[in-house]
Amino acid sequence: MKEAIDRLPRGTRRLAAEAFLALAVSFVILGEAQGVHGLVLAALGMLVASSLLVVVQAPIGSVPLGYALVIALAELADVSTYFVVVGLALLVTVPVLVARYGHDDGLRRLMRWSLASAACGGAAVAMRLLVVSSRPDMALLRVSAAGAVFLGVDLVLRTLFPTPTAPPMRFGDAWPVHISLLCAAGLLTVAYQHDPWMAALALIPLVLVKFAYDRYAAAKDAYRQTIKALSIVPEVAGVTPLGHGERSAVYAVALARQLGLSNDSVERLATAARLHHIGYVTLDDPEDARHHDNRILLAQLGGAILRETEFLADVGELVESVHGGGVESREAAVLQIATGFDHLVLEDPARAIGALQLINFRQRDPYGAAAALVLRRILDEDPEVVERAIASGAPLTEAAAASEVSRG
Amino acid sequence: MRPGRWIVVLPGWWYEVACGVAGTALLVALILRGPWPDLVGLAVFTGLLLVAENAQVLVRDDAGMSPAFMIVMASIAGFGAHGAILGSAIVGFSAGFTIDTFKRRRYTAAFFNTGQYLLGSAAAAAAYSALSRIGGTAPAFLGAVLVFGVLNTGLVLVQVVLNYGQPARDVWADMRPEVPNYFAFGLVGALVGVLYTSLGAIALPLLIIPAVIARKAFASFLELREAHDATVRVFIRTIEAKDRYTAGHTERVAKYALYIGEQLRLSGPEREHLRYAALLHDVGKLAVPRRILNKPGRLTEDEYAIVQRHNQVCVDILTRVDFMRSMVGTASDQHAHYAVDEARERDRLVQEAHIVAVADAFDAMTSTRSYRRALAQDVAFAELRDKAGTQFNPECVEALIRAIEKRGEQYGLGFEETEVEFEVTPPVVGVGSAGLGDLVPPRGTGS
Repeated sequence: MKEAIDRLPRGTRRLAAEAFLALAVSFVILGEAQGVHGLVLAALGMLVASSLLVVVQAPIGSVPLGYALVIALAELADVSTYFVVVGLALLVTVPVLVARYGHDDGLRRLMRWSLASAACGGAAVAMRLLVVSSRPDMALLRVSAAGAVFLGVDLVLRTLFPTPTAPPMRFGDAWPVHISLLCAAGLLTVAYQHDPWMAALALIPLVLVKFAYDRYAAAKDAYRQTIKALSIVPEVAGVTPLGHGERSAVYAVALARQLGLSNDSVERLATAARLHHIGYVTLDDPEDARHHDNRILLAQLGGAILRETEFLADVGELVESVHGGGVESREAAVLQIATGFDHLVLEDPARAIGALQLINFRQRDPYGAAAALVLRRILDEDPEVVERAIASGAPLTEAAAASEVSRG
Repeated sequence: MRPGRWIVVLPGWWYEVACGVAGTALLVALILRGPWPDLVGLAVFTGLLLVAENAQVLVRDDAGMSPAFMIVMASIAGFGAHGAILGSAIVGFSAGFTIDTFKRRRYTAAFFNTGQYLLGSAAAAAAYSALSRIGGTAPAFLGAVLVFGVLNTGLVLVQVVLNYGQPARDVWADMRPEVPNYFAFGLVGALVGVLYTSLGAIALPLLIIPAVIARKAFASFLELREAHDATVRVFIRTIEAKDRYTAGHTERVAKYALYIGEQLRLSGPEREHLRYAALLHDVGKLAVPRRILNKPGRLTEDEYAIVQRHNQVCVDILTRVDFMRSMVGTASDQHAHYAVDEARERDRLVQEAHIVAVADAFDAMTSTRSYRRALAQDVAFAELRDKAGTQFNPECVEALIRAIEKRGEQYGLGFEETEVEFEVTPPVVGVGSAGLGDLVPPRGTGS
C-alpha cells in the first residue's frame, strides 16, 4: 500500500491528502453537530463533490455530471440541507479545481457553480410555493424549472466570464449536454421518490452521454494532432519557415472570430492555415520547392491531395486559393492575410506594424481589404496576438534549434 | 457466406430457423393463454423498439449495442403483473424486424432474432414476476436482466459459432466486454418501466432524449474517425508513392501493432491511438527526396546525412506533438530501444513506441527491401527474441509471436503479400533492421 502511494506523483499525493483532510474535517464537524444525520450530510456532500469533478467534454468546454445531482437535490432535500450539502461539496472541490485548472480558472469555475447552485436553490423554494402537489409529475415540473434556472445561470456566466481555453459560447453547442443533464436530474428525482436505491440507475444514461462526448473530443484532438504532424513535414523539409503553419493558424482563427464566422469555418481555416504548404509533399524532391517559382501550382497540388481525402475537400479549395490570383470569399481572404502576415513577421513582433502596412498596400479586392482592416483592428485591440502566435510555433523552432545544437 | 439471388444462407440456418420456430410456438401458446397487457403500452413499447432497433445506439468501438434489450426490460416492468409475459414477448418479437437484416436478405437471421428475443423476453418477464412477489423490486430487476442476458448471449453465441466457425471461446471473448453494458442498460430499462407505471408516457423522454443525444454524439465521433482515416490513408498513399519498395508497409505495421495491442489487452481507445501512431510512424519520409528513398544499395555520405537530418529533426519536433509522441520511439533508435525503467514503463506512449518498434522491425524483416530479400518468419521470430530485453520489449515480442501463431498466419519469405519489382535484384543477406549475420536463411528457402 505504502509503495503504491509512493509511486503516485507528488501533486496527486498532495491533492489526495487535502481531499482526505477536508473529508475528515467535514465528517467530524457535521457528526459532532448533528450526529448520524450530520454524517449522512457529509457523505452526501462528498458524493456531490466527486460528481462535480467528473466532467463531460462538451463542445462548449467541460461540463460536470454533478450538475444533475445538485439539481435533483434542490427538489429532494429541504432548503437548509441543500445549501449545507452543496456548500460543503463546493468547498471540498476547491483544491482539486485549483490543481486541475490553475488558480484563476479554478476559482472562476467555483464562482459559476456557487451562483448557479444558489439560484437553483432559490428557484426550488419558489417552485415549492407555486406547485405544492407531491405527485411525481409535479415533482418533475419543479425539478425541471429549478434545473432550467441552474443551467441558464451557468450558461450566462460561461458567456460573461469565459475560461481562457474555452471556445466561444454558442447555444446550439450547449443545449444537448444541458438537456441531458436536465433529463438525468428529472429521472434521478422521480426514481429516488419511487425507491431511493433506484436513483443510482438514473445516472446511467448520463454516463452514456459522457462516454459519447468524450470519445468525440478525444477523436477530434487526435485528428488535430495528425493535421499538426502533417503540417510539420514541409517545415522539416526546409521549404517553409518552422512554425509557420501553427502561427498562421493563430492569426486565421483570430481573424475568423473577429469577422464572426461560424465554428465550422474557424475550424476549416485553422486546418487550411496549417496545411497550406502540404502540396510540397507530393513533389519528388521537396528540396525542389525552394527553387519553385510557380506557387500556384504548389497550391493546386496541395488542394488536390486534400480533396482526395474527401473530408478535407473544402479545406483543399481554400488551400488552392491561398496563392491564387483573386480572392473570392471571406474565408480565402482570411487565409491569404493570415499566412501572408506570418511570412512577413515570422518570430519578430517588431515587424508586425510594417507587415500590416505592406499587407494593406497589397490588397486589391474588397474581401482582402476588409480582412486587412480586421487584422489592423485585432492588432490595435489585442497586440499580444503576435506573441501568442509566436509562442504556438515556438515548440517547433526550439526543437529544431536544440536538434541543430545536438548535432553540433 | 454464399450470397444467393433471393436469400443469403449461412451454415447455421437450421439453428436460426429452429429458434424462430420455438419463439413463434411460444408466442402462439401465450396468445391462447392470455392475459393481454394494456394495448396502449404495448403499442408504445413496440413502436419504440422498432424505431430504436433501426437506429442503433452504438456504445462501443465497432460493436452495436442494441437498445432493444433496454426497451424489452422497460416493457416487462411497465406492464406490471398484468400481461407482462405476453406483452414483453410481443415487444421482443418485433426486435427481429430490422431494415438492415432484410436489406442483406438474411431472412433466417431475422426469424432467429424474433425467436431469440421472444424467448428471452418471456423468460425474463416470468423471472421478474416471480421474483417481485418473493423478494421485491431489486431482486426482480436483477433476476430479469440476468435471465435475459444469459439466454440472449447463449443463443447468439451458438449462432455465431455455427455460422462463422469461430471457436466458442473466441466468440465469448468478443462478447464478454458487452456484459456490463447489458446489466447497465437492462437495469435502466427496468427503472423507466417502473416509472412508466406511475408517471405514464412522460417517463419515456427522460431516457429517450439522452439516448438520442448520445447517439448523435457517437455518430459525430464515427464520422470524425472516418475523416481521420481517410486523411491518413491519402498521406500513406503519398508516402508509398515516394517509396514504392515499402508498399503496404504502414498498413502491415498497423496490423501487427494491433495484434500486439490485442494480446496486451489494450482498451478500445488505446488501440485506436496505437493504430494512428503506427500508420503515421513513417511520416518523416515525406520530407526525404524520392531519389534517396528508392536508391538501391548503399547511400553516399551526403545522402545519408540528408536522411539523418530529416529523421532527427522529425524526431525532435514530434516530441512536441502530443499525439505523435509515441512515433518518436520508433523513429529514433535511442528512444525505441527497450529499457527496464518503471517510470517510463508507466507511460502509455512509451508502451506504444515499444509496440510499434516491434511491429516495424517484424515487417522490415519479413519484407523484401532494396537491400535484402525477405527473411523467413522463423528467422524473424528468432531475431526478435534474440534482441528482446535489449532492443525490443520482451512482452511485445512475445505478444506478436503469440498473436501470429494463434492465427496460424505466415509472413516473410514465400508468403509476401505485396510483390515489388526491383530494378536491381536485392541480395539474400544485407543490412537491415538488425545484425543478421548469423541468422542467414538456410539455402533452398532463399533465392
